[in-house]
Amino acid sequence: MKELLQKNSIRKLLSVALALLLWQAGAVLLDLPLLLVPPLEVLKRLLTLVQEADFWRTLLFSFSRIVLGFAIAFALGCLLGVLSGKWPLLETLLWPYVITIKTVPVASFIILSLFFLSARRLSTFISFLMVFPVIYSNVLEGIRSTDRELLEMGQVFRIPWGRRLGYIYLPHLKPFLFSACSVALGMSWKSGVAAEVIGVASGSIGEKLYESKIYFMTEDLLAWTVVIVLISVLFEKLFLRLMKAAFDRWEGR
Amino acid sequence: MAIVIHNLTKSYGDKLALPPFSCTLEAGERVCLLGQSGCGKTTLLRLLLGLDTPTGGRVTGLPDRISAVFQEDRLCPSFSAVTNVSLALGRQVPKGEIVALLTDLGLGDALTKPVRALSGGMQRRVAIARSLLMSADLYLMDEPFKGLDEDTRRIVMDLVLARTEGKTVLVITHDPEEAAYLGGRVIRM
Repeated sequence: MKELLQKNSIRKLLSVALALLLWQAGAVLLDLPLLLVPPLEVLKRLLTLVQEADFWRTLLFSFSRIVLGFAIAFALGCLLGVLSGKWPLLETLLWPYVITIKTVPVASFIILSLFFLSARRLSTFISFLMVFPVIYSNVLEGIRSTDRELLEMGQVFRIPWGRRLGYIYLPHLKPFLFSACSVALGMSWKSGVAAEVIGVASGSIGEKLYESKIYFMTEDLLAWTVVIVLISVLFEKLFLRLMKAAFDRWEGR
Repeated sequence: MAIVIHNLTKSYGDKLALPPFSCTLEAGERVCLLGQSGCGKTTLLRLLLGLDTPTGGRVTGLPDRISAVFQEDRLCPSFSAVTNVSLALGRQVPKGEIVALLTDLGLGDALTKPVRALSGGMQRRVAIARSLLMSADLYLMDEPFKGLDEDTRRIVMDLVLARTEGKTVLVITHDPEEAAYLGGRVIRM
């Protein structure tokens, strides 16, 4: 039993069970099912929802758009982060945009973006916007803090820049990328769904949340929230695992 | 062509890292630079490698292709010994030659292991192999045999002597025995 409890996954599972128990206790004590639905009711609603074809369509709609936004931000953040590390002028040129994206509230961006983007595409753009500065800043930080001694070695042996990137910079970037992605993946879901809610994107999870609020369907609201949490966590785990596998493969050379 | 170092000096603010230093390295000559810690040996090497700018003096006749063994190993820790060496050399040296030299240096069983999993002495040998396999006109070696046990040191020194035959070599050391074994001219700093 003691050994079992020492396993991180078991401990996490137990803490989730405890949180659910607290939720259940809160719901029973408050006895206001319209405001705080018991977890079992939410689970029942969720089980009903997953049997509907519309559920999967909605999930795919939001997933594809939010993940696309994340993917573009990841690729562009890495590229521009690396290039800014190489050319400080680029970093200076990008600075106003990065600082603006970092400081302006996401709601302002969503409302502003609605003027020139359709609500159906909004989540991609907003997710991109929230993820990009995180990836970019971390990659830039990683590039800047790369081991000076190794860079000097590269200079003396005249190692071409592309190879320095792959063998000197990339392994050093690894912890920066992992830390950036674990933050950014959650952010992409939070901001993407927020964009769908504000834009009332037809066929999206955000629209379902919006409808739940309008019609006071707390069960639905919580069921969809659980879906967002689950899909976000699963995607984060999958993405980080794939990234780790890619790094292991590269470094195993 | 001889390499002429004339009154080369380096200061970091008020701190004098290298007092004015002059010497001439004839083409194909092996020179051992002996001196106590902190006398500026490594600073001199950094200046010759172009990693620092001198405060005063000048160097003429420096060849284009310079190979080095740094005081630290400076290896990419997550990659194997073979990858570390081929990374620095590109396609100029076939993989077979890299494997052969690493094997001669006693690393035959550790070729594909990440270098961070190797002992300090093994990592040192990888750094030496990387330098020796580079086709260079000047070899600068900063305490290259540091951390090697007595037997391995002899083997590695013999390999260095054989591989750099006829090349200009500057070895920094503070071990007079090592300098005597390597032969060539000894300069005390």
